[in-house]
Amino acid sequence: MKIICNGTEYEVGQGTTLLHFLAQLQLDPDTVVVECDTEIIRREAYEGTLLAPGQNLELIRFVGGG
Amino acid sequence: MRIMVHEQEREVAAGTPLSEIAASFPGSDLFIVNGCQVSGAYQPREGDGCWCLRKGEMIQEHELRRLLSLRHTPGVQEVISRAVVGIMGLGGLGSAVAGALARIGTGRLILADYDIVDPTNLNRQHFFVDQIGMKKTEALAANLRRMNPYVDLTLHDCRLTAANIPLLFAGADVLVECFDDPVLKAASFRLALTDMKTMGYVGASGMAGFGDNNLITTVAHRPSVFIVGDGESEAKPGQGLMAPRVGIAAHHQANQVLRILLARAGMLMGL
Repeated sequence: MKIICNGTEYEVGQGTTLLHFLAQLQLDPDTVVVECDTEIIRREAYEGTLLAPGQNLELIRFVGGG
Repeated sequence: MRIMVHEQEREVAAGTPLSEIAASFPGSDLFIVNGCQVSGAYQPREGDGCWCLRKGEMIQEHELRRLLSLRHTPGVQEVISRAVVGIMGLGGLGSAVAGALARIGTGRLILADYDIVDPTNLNRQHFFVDQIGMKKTEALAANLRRMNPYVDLTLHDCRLTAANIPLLFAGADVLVECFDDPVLKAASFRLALTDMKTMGYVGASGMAGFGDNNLITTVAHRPSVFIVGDGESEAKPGQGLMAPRVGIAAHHQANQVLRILLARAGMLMGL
């Protein structure tokens, strides 16, 4: 199935969770804020959130330093 | 014509230079008209607000407030003086943001950090060698009071978490995220977009090293929620945090706080 993430189309397998998708992108889930079809996903929900066809994800990644 | 001299109305002839008016303030050598420094040769115009001060002389609270008001214009200063701003983390970003906001006369600053000043902080953080070992909250409070003795400070010497941030910063108009840790940055940004939606928010991500100045940007994620930085330059071996670029990001943040406050007061369009 296809999803959109930060404006780019991705092909992901059925049953892919948000946590799994972030791992595929080699992102530390704790440093990423996820907006899924304009809804902010709570960190504790990443593991249980199944991606669905056509979903539009916006990822905001934070890097250390301040 | 009538002008204001130290907030008192005074009748002077048109074309009178300020140096002549200043004769009533012996030793005055610093002239301010409508918030801008001018020379003694300046000829005030009808309605001007003039101050004749002595360089280096101590200034009282009402005088400092009045000078800020003249410099920033009264309407803008009223908004700043009423504002409550929370600053999470008092490192390179937070200590600089706090300095900028104290200097412009922000009403109240809520400052939080769990750490003490250590020697590795001094390449970018606004502390002094003789403050090594002090709590950052207390060291910064002392420094801010030297910039503006009249800023109201609330200090929290503790570790911030997603659980205590909403409690410790309740009542703030704008929250500024100045953490070092990307996990806390993300957690507090999530809060800003969910549980703390009514608060303005200015976060930061990516300002290490000495990359291009102009890659540091301020990006809106919601009408009053912004992230400053280049989004990429993380602090890591070979790319440390340095005062110049961290300072660019910090002052983006401070200016964005000001813009949020003014926009909410209806004094700035386009936000």
